[in-house]
Amino acid sequence: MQSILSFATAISRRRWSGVLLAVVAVGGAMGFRSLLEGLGQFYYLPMVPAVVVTALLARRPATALAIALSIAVNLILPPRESLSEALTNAALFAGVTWLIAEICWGFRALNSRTRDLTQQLAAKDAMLNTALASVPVVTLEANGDIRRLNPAAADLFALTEKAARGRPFIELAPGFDINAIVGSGAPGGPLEAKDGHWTGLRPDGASFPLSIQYGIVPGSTGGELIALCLTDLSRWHAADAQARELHAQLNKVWRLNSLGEMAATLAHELNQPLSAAATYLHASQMDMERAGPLGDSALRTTALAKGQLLRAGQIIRRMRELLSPEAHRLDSERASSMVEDLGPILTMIGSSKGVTIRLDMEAGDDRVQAERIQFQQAMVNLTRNAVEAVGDHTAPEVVIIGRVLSDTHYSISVEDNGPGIAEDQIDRIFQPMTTTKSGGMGLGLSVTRTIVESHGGRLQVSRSALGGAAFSFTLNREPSVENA
Amino acid sequence: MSLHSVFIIDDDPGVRDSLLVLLRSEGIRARGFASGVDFFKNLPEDATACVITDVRMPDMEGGEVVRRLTQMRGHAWPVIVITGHADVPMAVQMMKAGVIDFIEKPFEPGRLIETVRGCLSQLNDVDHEQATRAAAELRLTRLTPRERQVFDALIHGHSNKAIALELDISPRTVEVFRAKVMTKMEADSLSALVRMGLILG
Repeated sequence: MQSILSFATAISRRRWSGVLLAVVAVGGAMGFRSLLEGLGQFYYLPMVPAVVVTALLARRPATALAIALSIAVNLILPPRESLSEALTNAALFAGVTWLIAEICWGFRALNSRTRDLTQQLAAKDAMLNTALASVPVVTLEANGDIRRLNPAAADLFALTEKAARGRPFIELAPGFDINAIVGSGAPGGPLEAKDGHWTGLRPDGASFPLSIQYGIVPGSTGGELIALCLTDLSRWHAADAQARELHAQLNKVWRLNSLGEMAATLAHELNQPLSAAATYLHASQMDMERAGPLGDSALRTTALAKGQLLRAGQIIRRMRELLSPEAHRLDSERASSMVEDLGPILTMIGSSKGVTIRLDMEAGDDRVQAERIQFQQAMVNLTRNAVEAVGDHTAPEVVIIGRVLSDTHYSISVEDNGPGIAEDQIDRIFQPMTTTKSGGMGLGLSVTRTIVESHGGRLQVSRSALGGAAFSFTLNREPSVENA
Repeated sequence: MSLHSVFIIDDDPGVRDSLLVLLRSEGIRARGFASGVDFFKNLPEDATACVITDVRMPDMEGGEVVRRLTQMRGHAWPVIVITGHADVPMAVQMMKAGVIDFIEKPFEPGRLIETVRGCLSQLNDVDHEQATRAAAELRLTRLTPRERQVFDALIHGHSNKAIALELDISPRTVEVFRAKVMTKMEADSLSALVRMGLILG
């Protein structure tokens, strides 16, 4: 059948071959009819196969030609009883054969459509197979037993397909309840787990986090009822845990930093009046000495009072030493990587105010001398300030820009399109315990400045090209291997 | 008592005033400034003076004060730094910048007084040397050209005979010139004369 059809296609492509076919078919039929001559007169009947063959293999003009040739041959060759009989027979023949030809063409069209559909279906099937090969899929029966699972799912559970078949799925994913799916009435969707994710179990006792998407197979009767699409969350969970860890670390560093800053501020503020008082007392001691023996007793108590003041100073100094962050050791770090690692945390800071934070860090040759977590703390502080500054803006923008400034320096700036910092505020904002925000302690910028200074830089504020504030500082670049 | 002044730069009025009281009670001339900016705006014209400055101040940090002062006056204006916010890197940086002492607040006032006195006596030494030099220079102008030639030869350690040969005069005449030089330069011995020569360079 295939070969005939392809032959037909080949023929229908060339006009002259259709004409030739019609002539040959009619000629053949004529020959056949002359063989039957001895048995009686067969007018049109032997011609029918010639028209059908032409119709099957060629197009309409060739078929019409075959019909016309047949009629012509019949009119010319055998003697006819009357003209009207001859004409009627010719018309009948033309009508009947054309009808047959139409049916042939319909059959041909149907055939080619079937072939197209078969091809499309095969392609779709291949695509589905490819897609499903990488996604673990399990199908379940109505009672929750595993009907089938694909190789990816078998790999995921470290099982062979044979071993898994027929086992209840609940053995692989504890807590799974097929009735919840059937009862929900939804045709498909994510399957919520009680504690955020499902747990998959392997035969060796290992477990892994799992998310499940389900779909009820439409029109399934009894047998295969539910398809489960599984996702291994291990890697995702690892990334999540990493972000959490960084967050916890930053919180700890923040607590230590702010305590240290507070202690330093307090020490500075208290040391001023303490020194003044001690100095005044010393001056009166000198006066009393000059007054002679009369002042001796007062001289002693004054000396004691001065001693107590100096002791207070010692206490403050010890407290400060205890609370100030340990001396920083600067390592060789990549500036872009330190900022990019903060991604999830920055996203969290931004999303609280609906701000998207853009990172624009020059990544090539960006090794700098930095203490990773302290630097990240500074970046989080500056970003949080920027996000708060743009909070009321209709199109808030916050961008972190990193650029290689020179052979020795790499510049970092955090910019926003908020209201910016007023000129007369610039000196004040860096002072500890001063804040322009309602809910702040006023330690953020002061801690940030301390961090920047411990990196050998200087925190500066200017107006950003975005319209708001730009807080910038530089880090010392790590001399590259070629330069060293 | 020293004639030199001590200038105190501290933004904290309590610290500033107490230091003024203390130094004045010790008989030291002292004057206070609320900031580095204020100090440089009203910069005293003293050739030599001692400066006490705080580090953490608004407008101008102590480090900047030290840098500018050293640039302007060199060692003629020694600086003592007092701070309520000391850390090791800061101390190292300050000592490198050439400050005399780095004292943490609250300090034992006696120690500060000692440092200030040390500072002032150094300035006195400098003054003394400058005075001696000025006097010697003045005396030198009194010498006649011939006497000056004899003086130069003497401080270079030449003997009378060598000088006589050099200046083409008799040793006896050299003796006379030498006595005149000693009198005019007010030197009671040859060694005193040579020391004067060293001071004059």
